[in-house]
Amino acid sequence: MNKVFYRSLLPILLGILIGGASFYPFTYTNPISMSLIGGIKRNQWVTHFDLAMKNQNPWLRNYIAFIGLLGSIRPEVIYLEAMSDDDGVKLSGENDYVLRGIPPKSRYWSFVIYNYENSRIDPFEETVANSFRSTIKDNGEYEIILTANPEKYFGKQIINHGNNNFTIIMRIYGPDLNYYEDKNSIPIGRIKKVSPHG
Amino acid sequence: MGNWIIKFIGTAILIHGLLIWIGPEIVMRKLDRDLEAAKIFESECGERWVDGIFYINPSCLSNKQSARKPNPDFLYFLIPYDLSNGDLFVSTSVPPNDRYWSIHAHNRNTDAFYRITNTEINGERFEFLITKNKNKTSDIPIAYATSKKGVILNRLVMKDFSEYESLDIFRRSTFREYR
Repeated sequence: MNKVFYRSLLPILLGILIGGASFYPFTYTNPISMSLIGGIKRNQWVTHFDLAMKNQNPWLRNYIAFIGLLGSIRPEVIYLEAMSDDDGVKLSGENDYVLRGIPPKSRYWSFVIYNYENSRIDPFEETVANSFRSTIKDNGEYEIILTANPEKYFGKQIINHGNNNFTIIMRIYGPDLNYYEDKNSIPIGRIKKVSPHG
Repeated sequence: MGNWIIKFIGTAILIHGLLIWIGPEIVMRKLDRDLEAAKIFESECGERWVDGIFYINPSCLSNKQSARKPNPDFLYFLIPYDLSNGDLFVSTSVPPNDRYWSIHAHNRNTDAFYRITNTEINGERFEFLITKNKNKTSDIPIAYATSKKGVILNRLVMKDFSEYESLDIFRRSTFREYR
């Protein structure tokens, strides 16, 4: 009985375990899935031009189903996702950040933060900055503060992370079609840690 | 030992591949359950199901596991369909081009097989048909599905959250029927 277990059942059981464990990273945003699925990388931002399309790879289809079911498709949108600041450190609810960049040429763009469970953070109305409500500075850039303490930044454009660790999605709807031809022309944001708060 | 390793690696690859393959279906089934549960009226969520169309209320999204990374700026409506009942006709209002609006139709495996946005539409209403019949012709746009079941998803951007009530009325002029 022991011999049968070690020769036949054990490798199968271990195979099931490893097969399941290797599937798990493709169900949420993490460095493993972001590096293995492929896609287009610009600094800490990752995007997938063939998302939700027939020719996408099965790992991407699975990943998108779990993190953002029923995504828009090219040429309707470019989604960019980041989980770290410009220094490569994971975005933390313990810190404040400033997000700066040039607005993309598009019909509508937004930045929204989510927690690691792929869910929104409440109050959800405070987790978004977009092309309709963001002011553009004289140098042509938006400047958005990511913080749990909006009162510290009176008059600034704020996203409230409420002390949650988070990832950030940039959505570019109706993008300039040249972005698909030249990925380096997509104007991505810079994320700098400001200071630990509290 | 060789057989042992083959069994181990073979099983691991098989299980990994199987899970990756059925992953989207797992999430779609969760969506089915969430949509079914939303048929129970909750006063804070308003009338969400109307004539086969599910109008998502942003305030009632956060506790739904199938609602992953929703855009807070968007008002969504969903039309789950089953083409066993016939071809699906959809008619809906279209806003002016200063506001992003789109329709996507997704197969059961989540792939989108049809999309259109308001800048591609002339007029204030859009009508289209979803069918599996490749030979079907019509005087309105046709979206050819490759699976019997699927979902239509509409996105309508709110420039400001104060627009919710007026845009909610706007999107609810949508109509769908099997033909």
